[in-house]
Amino acid sequence: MLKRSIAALPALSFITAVLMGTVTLFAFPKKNISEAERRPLASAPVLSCKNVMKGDYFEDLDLWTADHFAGRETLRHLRFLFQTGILNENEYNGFVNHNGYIISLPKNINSSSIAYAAERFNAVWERYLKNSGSHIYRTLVPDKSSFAGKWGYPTIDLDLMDQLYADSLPFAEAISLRDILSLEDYYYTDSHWRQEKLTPAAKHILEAMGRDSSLLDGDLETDSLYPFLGVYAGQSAMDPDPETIYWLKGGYLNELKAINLEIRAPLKIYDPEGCDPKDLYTLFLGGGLGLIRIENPDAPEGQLVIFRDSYASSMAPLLASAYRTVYLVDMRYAHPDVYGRFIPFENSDVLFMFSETLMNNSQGIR
Amino acid sequence: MVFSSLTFIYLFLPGVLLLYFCVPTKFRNAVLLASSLFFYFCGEQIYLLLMAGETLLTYVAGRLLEILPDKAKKVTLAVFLVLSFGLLGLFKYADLIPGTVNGLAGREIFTLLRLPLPIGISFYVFQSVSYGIDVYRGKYPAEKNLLNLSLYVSFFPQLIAGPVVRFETVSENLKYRTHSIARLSEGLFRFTLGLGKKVLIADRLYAFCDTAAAAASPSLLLSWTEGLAFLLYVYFDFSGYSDMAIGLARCFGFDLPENFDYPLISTGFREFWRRWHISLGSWFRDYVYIPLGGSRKGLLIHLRNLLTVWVLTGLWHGASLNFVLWGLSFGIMLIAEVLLEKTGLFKKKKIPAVLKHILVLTLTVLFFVWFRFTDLRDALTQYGRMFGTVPLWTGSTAYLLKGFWVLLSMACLGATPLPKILYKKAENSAAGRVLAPFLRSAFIVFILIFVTAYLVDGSFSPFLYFRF
Repeated sequence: MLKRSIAALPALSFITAVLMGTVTLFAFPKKNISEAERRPLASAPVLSCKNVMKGDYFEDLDLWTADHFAGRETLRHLRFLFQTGILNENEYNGFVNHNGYIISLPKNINSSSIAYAAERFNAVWERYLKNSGSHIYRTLVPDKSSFAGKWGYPTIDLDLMDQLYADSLPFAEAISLRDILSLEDYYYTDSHWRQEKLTPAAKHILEAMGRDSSLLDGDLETDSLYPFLGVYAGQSAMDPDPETIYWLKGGYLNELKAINLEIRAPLKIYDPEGCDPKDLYTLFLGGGLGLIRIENPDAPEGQLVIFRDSYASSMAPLLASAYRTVYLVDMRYAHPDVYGRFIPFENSDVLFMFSETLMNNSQGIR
Repeated sequence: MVFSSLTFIYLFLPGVLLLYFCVPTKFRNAVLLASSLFFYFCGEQIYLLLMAGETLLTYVAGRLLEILPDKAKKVTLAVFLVLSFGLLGLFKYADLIPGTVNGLAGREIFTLLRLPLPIGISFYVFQSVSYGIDVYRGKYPAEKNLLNLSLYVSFFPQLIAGPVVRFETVSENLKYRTHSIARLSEGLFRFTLGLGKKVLIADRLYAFCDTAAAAASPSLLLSWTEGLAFLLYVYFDFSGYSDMAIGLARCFGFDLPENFDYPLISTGFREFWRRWHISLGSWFRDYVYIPLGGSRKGLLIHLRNLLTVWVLTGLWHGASLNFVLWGLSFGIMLIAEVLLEKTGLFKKKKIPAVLKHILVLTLTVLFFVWFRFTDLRDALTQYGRMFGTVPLWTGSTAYLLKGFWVLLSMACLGATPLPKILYKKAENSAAGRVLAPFLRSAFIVFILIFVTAYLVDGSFSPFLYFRF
């Protein structure tokens, strides 16, 4: 009897493990979004004749099962441990951990994405900038991965990336940030750069545009918020320790006034209380907003228009040190048709400031 | 639906096992048939009718082949073969020649049919044909129970990626089979082993191949490692699937034949093909090679037969020129082996086994480049890299080998009988006999957890042999 029971152990183990998975799959409440991965989870498959006959039902069921499996986050972390701990692989889902910095390694340059962005930039130039008498500049925000090459990690061809960005903005003068920034200027768990470390980069941009950057030498201090887990923390499944997010305040920064132009409402330069608690980087200028104006009463006359992505949210307050008015245009959220209603482009400085990440994934630009 | 999906492991399989063991014995074949049809329907909705048609055709042909006079039998068999192979030809090979011509011309000279390939068609057509021929030959009587024959053709553990099972292998099991907790344990252990081979090894090897192929600076060393990794990937993917099929069948009381016997330790190509995809090799031997005369009708006929079988084996794997070249490469090697043996050069004692093993493995790695790339230009680029159009060593090589050396070493070791020998040795010791069920249980839970971890994180990839 005992021998028979022992022989049954493997079968019992299998059946118990599988049934636990099956029962918990249905027993646990379902979520709509994955906070860790910052993406919507698959919705339950719809049982209909059409869906079943097309096979969509079974495909959707596969996705739903994977997305709603009990303990999904723990299992993802286990996979990370297996893959990097036991198999000793360098990467996990395209992420590496270099001295605590989580870096996403892009596999290649998406030239069609850059071509699309170029087409959208050109449309803006033709419509608003060509005859505006403005000075136009471009700067490409380096991705964290662009610093990883010197430690042996595979990176994209940075020269080619720079060239393609230049080709996409042939009417703009280049300002390179590659030699100004380093990996330490970025957050450990997030893709973004750290505002309190950006003063040299901001001064470099301002000087290249012929502006006085002396306000940045004033008495600026840092404020912070803890805990902060950036977008890579959950996506990489590495389960890193939280870090602290910082921002600069004091001096001219306390005098800045911002407005969300689309709803004509005042906007806080930094809003640690009101920002999305799941994405603290949105504390900078409200996160993803289409059209913003910043006024700096302490700055000399002059206007800067920044066509930008999320990296500019933390950089813009620093660039505002040299301009009375700064406009921020996020081309993913605001349609080009409305720019002219809010922004006088004549005789401005115009800066196209986009990250390598966005250039490689520009489908969202309108 | 594939075995390495959460839906199969956590929804389909427990449901079928529960239903199967709850119903009275006489209904168990019906449960298995219904489950098999549902399993197929999840992946192929309309083509389920195609499989049902082929099954009905096989049933009718079998009955007729048993009762008709000899002359009519021949005609019936011919009609059955034309219809069965016609089905395969239409869905798998209709675009072969026009597609090849278009490809060589670089433009679309012929309009292609582009019919989607029904999953598993190569397997169930080959099983049906073997049944028809065997009944014609009088090897066994035709199956009178349509349900049993349908289950033979559509049995879900081996329906979509083999092994190619002969009716004689399972005919007894279809009528009488025994179940025991020990067999269930054995079957589930084997299934889990195959699941681990597929998800934890094969899929990672494929990831390595993918990454290596996209490396910014390819190298000669990386290209050869990539070639070896691809061969290991195909081995672990397909043998993993066969393990799962054999294990699942055992749970339901069926004994399916082994399909792999450590082919990568072979010291000759004939040995390789006695160990690799055994069920397909024996199918071609019994239904093509021997009927053509085998090796008994002189050297030239023998060589012709070898070439014919290997072109057909290549074509079975895919309807494109690269698979023909892959099959031809093995065919030529088998011919060379025959000729060398005749000259006495390849006899056992003249060349050390280790050298023969290295030679066979090296050439096999090279031949599997054809297998990998449907586009011949990609294959030629890869051959170029393997023969020196790129530097010997680059930064990408160091990075990738550093990241994958554990996996590659595990795969190389796992492709030899060593782990099994060691395990058996340990299991046969006094302590091993007591601990074995506990170790197997721990192994099952460990593999299930990590396989699940991979599957929830989107590592899903279909089995390679699906496309056949």
